Amino acid sequence: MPRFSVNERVVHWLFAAAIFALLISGLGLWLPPAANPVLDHRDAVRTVHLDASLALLAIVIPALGRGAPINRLWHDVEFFTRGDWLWLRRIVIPKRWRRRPLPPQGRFNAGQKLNSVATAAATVGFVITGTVMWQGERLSPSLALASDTWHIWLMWLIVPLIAGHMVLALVLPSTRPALRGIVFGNVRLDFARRRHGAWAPAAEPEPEPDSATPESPTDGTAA
Amino acid sequence: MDSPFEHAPDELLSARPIGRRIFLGMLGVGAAGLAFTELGLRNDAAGDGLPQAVPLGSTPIDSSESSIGQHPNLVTTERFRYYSVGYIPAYDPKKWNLRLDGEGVKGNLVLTLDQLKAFPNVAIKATFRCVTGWRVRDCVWRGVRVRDVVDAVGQNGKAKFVTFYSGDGVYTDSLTIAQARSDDAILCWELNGAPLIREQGMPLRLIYPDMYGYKNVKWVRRLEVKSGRDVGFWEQQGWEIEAYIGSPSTSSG
Repeated sequence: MPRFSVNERVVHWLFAAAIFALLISGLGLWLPPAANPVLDHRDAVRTVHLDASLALLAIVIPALGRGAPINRLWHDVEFFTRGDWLWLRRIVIPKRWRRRPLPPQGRFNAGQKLNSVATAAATVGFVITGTVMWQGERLSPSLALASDTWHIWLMWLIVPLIAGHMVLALVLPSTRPALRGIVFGNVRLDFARRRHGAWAPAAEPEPEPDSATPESPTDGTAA
Repeated sequence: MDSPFEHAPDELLSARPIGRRIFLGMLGVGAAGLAFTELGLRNDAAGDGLPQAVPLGSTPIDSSESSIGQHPNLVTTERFRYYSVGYIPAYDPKKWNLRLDGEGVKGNLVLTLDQLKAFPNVAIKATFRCVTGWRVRDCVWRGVRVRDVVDAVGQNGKAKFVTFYSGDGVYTDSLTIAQARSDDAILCWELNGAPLIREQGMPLRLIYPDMYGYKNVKWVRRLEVKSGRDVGFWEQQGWEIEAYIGSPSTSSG
């Protein structure tokens, strides 16, 4: 069944490409000399980092406005239901000790929503601190240093978020079927019902046996 | 093609916009953290700006911590970021020497590192500050004063400035003769009890802690004493020649 629109998929992959370019080039700027394979290309790495950050802004800003083609995605991430809170409370309990099943989730489960919100906040933080670092020569040294510190802390925040996102999307068999949703737009109906029961259409009920319907000769033979 | 949203149940319609609150809350925490960090750094900076002389022979540095701040693999909140505008020059102890010449001195001088180390050693404890904002506190630099090297041949009336040449063949910077002759201008080979690492300027760099790091030329190979001022590498890009720490022209534009 369809899960992601074309616009949502395009924004997702452009955002992912920009983030990966930023993380990799950022590593090239951050790693110490002895462990840095691109030390001699620092200027080029810095250019890539700055260009990728501008590309990120070019992706994010048009997607934020009212009437943007992915507004529905923002809505689905932003709105939390009672089931979301229950899900968050129960997901931390190991499955074998969980007395009640996880409540059915919408198009995004509560963990995905929190991940998205944290990534969005971290992105804004990266843009602000990165701009201060970029223009640090023109600002106070203490502000530039504070921004430098927080830029690194944000990196430590976002790397586990992205790593967890990728493990769930690429590695874990129970969640891997979601990958085709962000690639092709559709997920399997059984996966949607199992993992996103509040969003997927319920299974059609089995038709009641009708006594007026004569048994087929085959059934009769088999019986 | 079906819309992805046509199956949304009624529960979603009564959901609350928590996401934006979490988002704004995280931004608020981040902004407050940034402000507090900045304030703390500003207060720290007000208290440790002046270099302090450290008695030699009893440098109170634990050997296990001797490389903190300069070791490239050590991640601390205060560590050096290494920059080089050219390549990092190789160091061959057998071939390396320091040259002193120029119209402002009475002769030329070529010194090996051992000969240089034979000059009276001094140490300075100071905060190293980069104009881009980062700093490393409590650096203990060991070396010899520039003025002792200059006085080894003697200066003349044309000695107005000293230009320091980096071994990378690209980078230069200069001090006035008064700055170069001050107690705090040293040619150093050691930081916190350990020899300078390659990225830090091995074997010799200038340290003048009153000014931002870009004045502190690394891989120094030549001192030229002269009557006219050479404009250094970054100064040709518009940076201040008198890069005193905290001066408005360098800290705010």
